[in-house]
Amino acid sequence: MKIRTRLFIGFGVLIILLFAIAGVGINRFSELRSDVDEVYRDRYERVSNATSARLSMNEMAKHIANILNQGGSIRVEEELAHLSERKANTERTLSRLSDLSNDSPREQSLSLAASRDWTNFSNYVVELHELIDQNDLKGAVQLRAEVGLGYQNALQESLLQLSNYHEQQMDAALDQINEANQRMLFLTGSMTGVALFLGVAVVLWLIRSISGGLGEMSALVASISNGRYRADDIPPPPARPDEFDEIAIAFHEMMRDLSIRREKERELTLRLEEEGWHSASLAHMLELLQASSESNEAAQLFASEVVPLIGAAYGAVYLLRPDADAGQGGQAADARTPRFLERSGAYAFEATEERGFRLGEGWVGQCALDRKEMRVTGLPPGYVTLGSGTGQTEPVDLLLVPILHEGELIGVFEAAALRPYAERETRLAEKLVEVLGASVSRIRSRKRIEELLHVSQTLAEELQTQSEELQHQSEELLTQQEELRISNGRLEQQLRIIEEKKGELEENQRVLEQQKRELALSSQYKTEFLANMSHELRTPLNSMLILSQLLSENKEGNLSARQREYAETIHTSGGDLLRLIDDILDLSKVESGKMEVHPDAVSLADLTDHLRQLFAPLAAKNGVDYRVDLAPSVPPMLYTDAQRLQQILKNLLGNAFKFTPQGSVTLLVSAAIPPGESSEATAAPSIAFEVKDTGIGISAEKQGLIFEAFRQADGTTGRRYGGTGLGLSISLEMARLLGGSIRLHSEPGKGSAFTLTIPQYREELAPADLAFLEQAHREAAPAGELETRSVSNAPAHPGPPAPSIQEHETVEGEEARLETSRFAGKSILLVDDDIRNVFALSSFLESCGMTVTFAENGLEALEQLRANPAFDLVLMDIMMPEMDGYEAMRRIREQPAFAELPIIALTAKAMREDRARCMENGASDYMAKPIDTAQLVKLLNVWLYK
Amino acid sequence: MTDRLYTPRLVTPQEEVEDIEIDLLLEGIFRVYGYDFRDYAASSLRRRIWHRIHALRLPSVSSLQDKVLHDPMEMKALIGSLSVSVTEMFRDPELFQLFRKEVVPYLAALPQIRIWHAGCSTGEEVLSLAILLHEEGLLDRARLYATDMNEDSLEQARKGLIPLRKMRDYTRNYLTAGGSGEFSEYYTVKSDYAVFQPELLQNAVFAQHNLVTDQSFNEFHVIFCRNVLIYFNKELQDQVHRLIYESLSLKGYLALGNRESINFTHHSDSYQPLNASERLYRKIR
Repeated sequence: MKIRTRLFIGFGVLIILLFAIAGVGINRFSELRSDVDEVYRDRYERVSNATSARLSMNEMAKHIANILNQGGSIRVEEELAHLSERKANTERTLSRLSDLSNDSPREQSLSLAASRDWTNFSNYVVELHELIDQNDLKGAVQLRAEVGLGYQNALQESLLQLSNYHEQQMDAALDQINEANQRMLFLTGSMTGVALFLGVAVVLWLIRSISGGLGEMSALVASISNGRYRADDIPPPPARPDEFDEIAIAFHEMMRDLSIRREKERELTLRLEEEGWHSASLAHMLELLQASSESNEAAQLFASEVVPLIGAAYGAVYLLRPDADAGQGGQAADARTPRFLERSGAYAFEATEERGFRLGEGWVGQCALDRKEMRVTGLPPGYVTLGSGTGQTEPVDLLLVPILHEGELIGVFEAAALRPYAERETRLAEKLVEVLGASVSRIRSRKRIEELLHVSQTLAEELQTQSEELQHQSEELLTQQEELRISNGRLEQQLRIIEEKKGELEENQRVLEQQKRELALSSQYKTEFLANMSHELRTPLNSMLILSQLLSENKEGNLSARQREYAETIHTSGGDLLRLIDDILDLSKVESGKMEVHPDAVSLADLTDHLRQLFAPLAAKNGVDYRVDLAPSVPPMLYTDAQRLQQILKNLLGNAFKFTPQGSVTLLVSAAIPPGESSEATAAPSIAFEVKDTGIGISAEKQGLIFEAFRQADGTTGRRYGGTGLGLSISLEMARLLGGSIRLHSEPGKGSAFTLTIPQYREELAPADLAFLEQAHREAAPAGELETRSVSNAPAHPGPPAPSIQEHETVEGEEARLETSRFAGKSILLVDDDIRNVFALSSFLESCGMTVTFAENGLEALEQLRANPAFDLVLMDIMMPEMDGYEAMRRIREQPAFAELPIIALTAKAMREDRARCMENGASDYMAKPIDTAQLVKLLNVWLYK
Repeated sequence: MTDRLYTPRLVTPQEEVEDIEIDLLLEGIFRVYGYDFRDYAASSLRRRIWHRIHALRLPSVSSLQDKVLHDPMEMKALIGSLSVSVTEMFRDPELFQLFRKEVVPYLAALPQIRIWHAGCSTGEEVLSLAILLHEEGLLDRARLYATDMNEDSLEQARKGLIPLRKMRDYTRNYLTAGGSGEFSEYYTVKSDYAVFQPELLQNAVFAQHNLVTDQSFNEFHVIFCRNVLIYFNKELQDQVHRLIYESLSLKGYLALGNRESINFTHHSDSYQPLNASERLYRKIR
């Protein structure tokens, strides 16, 4: 029975008992009360009425007595009133009593008796009363005595009897009540006792049944907590289970679920653990294999790692040897000769065992062929023995796993264990083998890619060498072609020339002779002209000099001091002019190559003596120390042109005295090694003539001008420096003619030192050298355009090089002129709107033999090109009206015919971007404005080169 | 077992004989003249040798051997033929552009700059670099070591002469290479040649040096070795790369030819490519 039901029943019983007891009690009490009520209402009233009737009657008797006894006194009246009153009272009481009387026969009889007596008595009283009223006392007394007293007593007696009867009746009723009360008390007490007993029983029953279920529960819980609980021990549930049973059932169910779940959890944990182990192993393996770059290395690593990992005692990795000729009928090759599975990694292997298997050979080969995992348990004794130094053992479980990757067979993994494999171990082996397959496959494909890359690199290099060789060969071919072409042309030309020459030879010879004669004549004319002119100039000048000197002497004494001074000035100026004329003559000789060198043996002692004597007077006059020293190391004789040497030294000394107001002038002659050739054994020793003064000196910038004076003799410089510059220039040129040089060392304010260095030729060689020297400039001279070369270049052979700046410029200038030979007959389109530029450029280009067509803007240029597409080159200005150079170049380049037409952009801007823009728009090259002719010539050479 | 895919060349008996002849010729040249061509790339070498044989109208390699071993002039001619001197000014202009951008800032910080043109041939590259350095204001501080095994090439390189017919291409190259001046400023024209200003080569040292047999002679900030290694086989390439590595200062730059690569050599890890397409590498370890 359910606890709820039990509780309902238990407490229901208790409540019913309680109500029963209460109901009985209330019933009894209400019964008691109605009994008491009846007693009081019925009996007690009757008793009291009977009693009061008796008392009233007694009172009446007393009052009668009193009246009679007193006889006629005043009080009779009063007594009579009382008596009447009493009589009414008694009558009332009696009537009430009769009203109350029930049907009890005794009571009726008693009441009847009482009422008859009362009637007698009351009649008596009335008679009496009448008697008294008639003052018949004696009759009254007699009456009383005769009947009254009897009546009185009878009434008294019946009333007493009635009262007694009622008293008896009341007592009986009271006794009845008491008895009923006693019964009720007993009934209540016994009922309470029963209820109490039943209540205790119900409580005990409830307590027992609840605490029993709880005890069972707590025992169950305790059995779980102390681990003795077993789901199997669950008793079958009762047919009508109570709550505790239900709880127990639910609990058991819960426990069953719990244990199932726990079981699952345990399995899961195991699986997780296995997976963890697997994935850790896999990760480790993957990492290991990642590092290896050779498949054998990977296989060995795998064997060493995996065999102990899966609890095997020995194992090997066999890799399928890659097909050498895979791709070209590989299938057919497979069919003929099964491919080889090579043992690439091993663990605890005996050295004597097989190196590998063919496909299908043995378990390994079979496993590879089937591509299925194989498990051989219960290996026969002696299948394989594993040994160490201490003993031998035999494995019992053999596992063979094919190594596959993306369906491709890579190899087979074999491992034998001394005990049967656990499932997780074989599973791990399978997974690891997959990793190995992937790794080996990866290594192989990487190798293949590397190999291919390598091959492609090699091929690229090979290609490069071939292309370079081709380029080289074409270069060679081009050079050869060029050479051939040139030599061919030359040959043809030569042939033609030879033929022509042959015919013209005599004519030429004749012409040559004629020319030679003419040349000699013209040269003679020139010399004569110069000589004549100098003569013509000298003659009047001489007269002027003589006359002015005569005038200045003032022999006749008729000139003023001032006039004499004028004459002296004329004389001095004339002298200057004469020297100037001489210089010019010398200069023209040098220039025309007419200056002749007459080498001869010169005694240095004689030379110095002469110079000492020559300038001693001037030194004395100027008050300047003058010394001429001849160093002892100097050879006595020098082979050179004495006259020129003297002329140079005179010039230098003259200058020195001119610019030395005080101090000293020294000429030092010593042996010197020419500069620049010091190390060469062939260098001739030189003689240095150093003219040193303590004069005003020459500043650094002027030093350059002195040496360049010759080139600028006809310019402003010449005039500014007067004759001096010319003299020095001539000296320099003459020094060069002699194969020597002049160097200057000077500091302003401290003086100057001019050093003339003349090579000291050996006598037997010198004439030849000098003869060559003479010839060199004689040949060069008639060429005209090379006039400067004769001076600057010729001495370069025997002597030190002329100042390099001069030579460089000369050569460059000359080449610039020379290299315009390529330009003849070329046609140029000049596009520019600046008429000055057009004029300058076109006159220059035309002077080079080119045809120049002019266009004022881009549009015109395009028209010109359309009209005449045969232009060799375009010079394109950028900033022009109508259409600028950029657009013009773009338009030109758009036409395929002009894709290769050289266009040189002329830009006034020097910005790099601007130039880049020129190039972007199709210019072949560019030039900055203003146009430098030399640069233009270079560019034309490059871009007109065919 | 090897993972290499290797396809051996099929050799006819005739070719085998020719291989032997070539081996003998090279051995002979090495022992007689000291020039070591033994590790040159075989196919190119074969072609060059045959080129020479055809030029001399000879029947076989052995006949060339006879001539070469007995006649030093023939040897000189053979060297001329074996050393392919293909070069251009500002060849691969993008490389020079990259050079300006990447290498010049590095060089600008150096007090003295040493650059080696290994295998300079006829010196066009030296001139190009001199112009570049001049424009970057670095030429005064720079010393350009230009070496080649071919004396004739060096002789030509010293002159600074460029045939006029090449100048158009070179002008284009110069401009593409990011030249900041006017190319025509650097040369004058003489006959069929452009004569480059001698000042450009003032700091250049031209010297004979054989990459195969000679050792490192200085430490350089930049080494140009372009289209030289392609004539060598792998072993020799490695050997020369070692020489280059030893001669290059840390953080220095190495310029290779367009088709050349530092990959597959022993020193590939020591360099970092500056750019995927141009063969300019920086030595990083």
